[in-house]
Parts: sequence; C-alpha cells; structure tokens
Amino acid sequence: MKGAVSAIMKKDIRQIFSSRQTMLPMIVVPLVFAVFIPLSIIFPSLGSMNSVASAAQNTDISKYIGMLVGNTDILSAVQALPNADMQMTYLFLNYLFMPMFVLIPVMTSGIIAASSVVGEKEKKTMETLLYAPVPMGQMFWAKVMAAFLPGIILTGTAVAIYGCIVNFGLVSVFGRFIFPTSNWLVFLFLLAPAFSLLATILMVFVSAKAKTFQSAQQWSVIIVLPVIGLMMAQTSGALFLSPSVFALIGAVVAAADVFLVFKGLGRFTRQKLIQ
Amino acid sequence: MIIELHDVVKKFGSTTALKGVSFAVGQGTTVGLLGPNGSGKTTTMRLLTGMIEPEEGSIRVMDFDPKKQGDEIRAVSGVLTENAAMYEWMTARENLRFFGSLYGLSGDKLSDKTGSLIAELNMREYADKKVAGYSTGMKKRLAIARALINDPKILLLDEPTSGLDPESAHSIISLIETLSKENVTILICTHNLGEAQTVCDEFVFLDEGSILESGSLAHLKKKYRHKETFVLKVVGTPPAGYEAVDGVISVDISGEEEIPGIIREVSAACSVYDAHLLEQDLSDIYFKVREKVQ
Repeated sequence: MKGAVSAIMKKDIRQIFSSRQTMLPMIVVPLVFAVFIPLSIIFPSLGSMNSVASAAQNTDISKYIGMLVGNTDILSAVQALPNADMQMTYLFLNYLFMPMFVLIPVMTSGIIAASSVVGEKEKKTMETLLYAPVPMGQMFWAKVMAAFLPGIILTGTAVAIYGCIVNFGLVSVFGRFIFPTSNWLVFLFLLAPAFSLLATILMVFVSAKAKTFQSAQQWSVIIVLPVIGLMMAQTSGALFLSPSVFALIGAVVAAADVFLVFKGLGRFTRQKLIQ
Repeated sequence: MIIELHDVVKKFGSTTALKGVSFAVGQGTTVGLLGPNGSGKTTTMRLLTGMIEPEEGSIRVMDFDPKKQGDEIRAVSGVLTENAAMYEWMTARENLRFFGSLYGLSGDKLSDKTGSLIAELNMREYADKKVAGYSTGMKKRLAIARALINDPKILLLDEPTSGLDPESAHSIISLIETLSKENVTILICTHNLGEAQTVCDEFVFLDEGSILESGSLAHLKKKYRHKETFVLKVVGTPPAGYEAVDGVISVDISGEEEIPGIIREVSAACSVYDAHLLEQDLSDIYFKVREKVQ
C-alpha cells in the first residue's frame, strides 16, 4: 500500500493550493521575511554604509554589538567591517533577523497539518479516508510528510530569495557576497526541519481534540511563542544565537520530534480521529 | 455467515451505545438496521469495519476480527457514510481515482473502474466538474460510486437515500437490488421503512443500543399477526355494528376464520364489491415492536 501514502500526500499537497485560506498566510509570511524586510533594510541604508559615520556613533554601535555578540569569531568578523552601519547591517541580516525565519516552517507546516488532519475531520472527509484499508502508520506518515515537505521547500525557497536580495543588494558596498553565514546552514539543515516536524506533530496531537481548522491553528502559538522569546532574548543581549547555540536548539527540538513521533503514532488511531 | 456479532457492548465515556448486540448476516443477504437516531446503527457499522473497538463481545466479518484485521475487512468492504463527504475541490473522476488508489488500483485498471462507475451511476455529464457544484443527489451518487470502487463483497450503507429526490432515490434502490443479486452482502441503516421493505431480506430493529426484534418480513409478520384489518368496500347502509366511511368498512380481526361471518353479515345488508385483508407492512410491524417495548 505504498501507493496509498503517495496518493494521500499528493492529495493533501494539491488541497493546499486549492484553498485561499491556507495559501494566503503561506505566501504572505515568507514574502515579508524574504523580500520586504531585507529590501527595507538594504536600500535606505546603502548611502550611509558608504559614508564615514561619526566617531561617537561608531562607539555607541560598537558597544551595542559587543553586548549582543557573545561569540568572539563572529564579533571579530563584524568588527573588521569599516563602519558601524555596515557592521549593524551585516549583524542584523545574518544573525539577528534569522530567528524570524523559524516562523516560516512553523507556520506553513502547522497550517498544512491543521488543514489536512483537523480540516478533514471538520469536513467529515476524514471518516471516509479512514474506511480505506490503509494502515494508520502509513496514514500518519503521509499526513506528516504532506505538511513537512512543503514547509521545508517553502523555507528553502524563502532563504534562497533572501540570500539573493542580501548578496546582490549589498555586493557593491561589501565588495563580496556576505550570505550565507554558517548559522544559516544550521538553520536550513537542522533547525527548520526540526521545527517544521514539531509543528506538524503538534497538529496531529491537537487533531484528537480540535474540531475546527481555526481552533487547531490557535495551537500553533505554542511553538511560535518560544521562537519569539528567542528573538527577544537575542535583541536584548541576553542570548546570542550563534551557530553552536542554534545547533543545540535544533538538536533538542529534533530529539523532541523523535519522542513525539512515537507518541503521535500511538495517538493517531481511527477511533480517536472519528470521535 | 459473513457477519457475526456476539454480545457486543460499546461504550463512549459513560454512555453505552450498544448493550449486548448479537446478530448474524449470511452471504448475499441484504439486512436493514432500523431504529431512531442514537439507536446504535452507525456505531454498529463502525465496529464492523474496525473503526472503533468494542468493550465486550466478539465480532467476525468474513472470518476476520475487526480489532486485529481491520485493514483486511476494509479492503473487501464498501462504506457509504450518511454524509457524502467527498473532496469538493476535486472532480468526481479525481475523487474516484484517489480512493481507487487507496485500494491498490492503478494504471488502466483504475481508469477502467473509474470510467465504468461513472457510466453505471449516470455521472458522465458532470464527472469532470468540481464536486463543490453538485446537488445532494449527485454527491450521494458519487459517494456510492466511491463505496463500489473496490468491488466490495460487503456493502455498508448509512442512509443511502436521505436527502434525495424520488428519481435519485429510485435509481439508488435499483442499484442496491442489482448488487444484492450479485451476491454482495449489504447492511443498510435507514429510517425509510418503505425502502427497507423493498430491498432488505432481513431486518434488525435497534433501540437505545439493544436489539428489539430481528428476522425476515415473513417471520415478523407471523410473529406480530395478533390483530389484522379486514376491509370491505360497500354500496348501501351497513348492518348494525359496522361503520362505513366513504363506503369503506374496516374491521379489526384476530384471525382469518372471522372473515366468512363478516362477509355474510355485511352482504346481507348492503352490496359488497371488494373485500380484502389489509397486508401488514414493515412499518406496521416496526411500530408494533416499538409499542410493545414502550
């Protein structure tokens, strides 16, 4: 019944494109993060990055940067840049803004999972699907992959667009491509998949209780809140999200995923889904 | 026996949905599960397909245990849920192809099966249009086609004609009759006693999770023939003790031996141009059974 897994996955992925309710947030959020925010940072500051800032300004910003960056290698890379505006732009676009991107896999996978599990329950198509002779393990993986893969692809695409804008927008100032730094690679290959899977599995858990797509979506906040917390901790200087910190967070979330997958498999039963 | 239930108990929290239900269905038999809402009809269907598990009792479907071999049962069953529940953003053909692929059909086999069901259920005209625009009848027909995609040996139909216009309902009843002749074992949950009488060989009356009565129509007629109605159509004034309404006299009798005396008495006073015993139908029996319980 391997064909059943791919049939359910294909159906769920097609369903995403058929619904404006699911498509809209999936387009808007990556568009804002990958296009509007970098453009709004790069172009207004192009002029100032080329000028020499006052010594007082440089000192203030250097102090702030010193407070934020807890990693000496990164700090020396930032401080090697000729002026404070370039240092801040480099730091913001490569490090400070990056945690925001975690919201893309969380939101997209969460929305798709809510639509494909809770949405099917709401529209009563879940029961007809469950009458098919597809083992629940296969059904679980089909639903998880249908939410996980688009989330990862969309995140990868958003990062690629963001990288192009950052590199081509700033190459004239920096004289080289400044993207990606190693933390982006950790993000792409560990953090994004781990968070995407977490959001998906959470929806599978929620599916046993939530009766509507909207109520299921509210549960996404459980994952979004810690992400926002991380960003605030970084901006305030309490925690600098260096590649190693990111890798640690990614590893913890991935371990949680493995644990939750086994838990989720046990909860994903016909009896629970049709009640 | 294709389906066997023995003392099945099913609870949902503090509510007991089935209270020791037992019945059996032979191959090729069409059985009507009759009863009001909440009597346990849908729960029975879900138990048979292994969607839910009983707390007590045993179930066998084609010798499979739904608890452990649910997928084997679902592979040979077709289910029509009360709500058609199709993917509205897909066309009828896409829906059938999707469900066919879940039953392991692919390539030409899937295309042929999909095409033949579309033709058989008169859906050619709208097969490639999105289901969202379909009427209730069209959706129901499509849902029946979906239930038949795997050529099921057992068909479980929950309210197959509810919400349908008379023509659509008639075409679905004809289809059920055809499938029954093809030796498919069919279980129908319905409120429509007239339809049940037309298509079912046997009946199970459920109420609040218990079986009130079961058997064939002939068996039930025999069992509940305590009082019957004898009808005479007359011209003229009936004799004392008889009342005619628009020329029709109805007399409750306890046995056929009373009939000759009634005919003699009435025809002595007026002209009788028609006389017959009013046949009990399933509806009469159903209400008698329910009356007896209450």
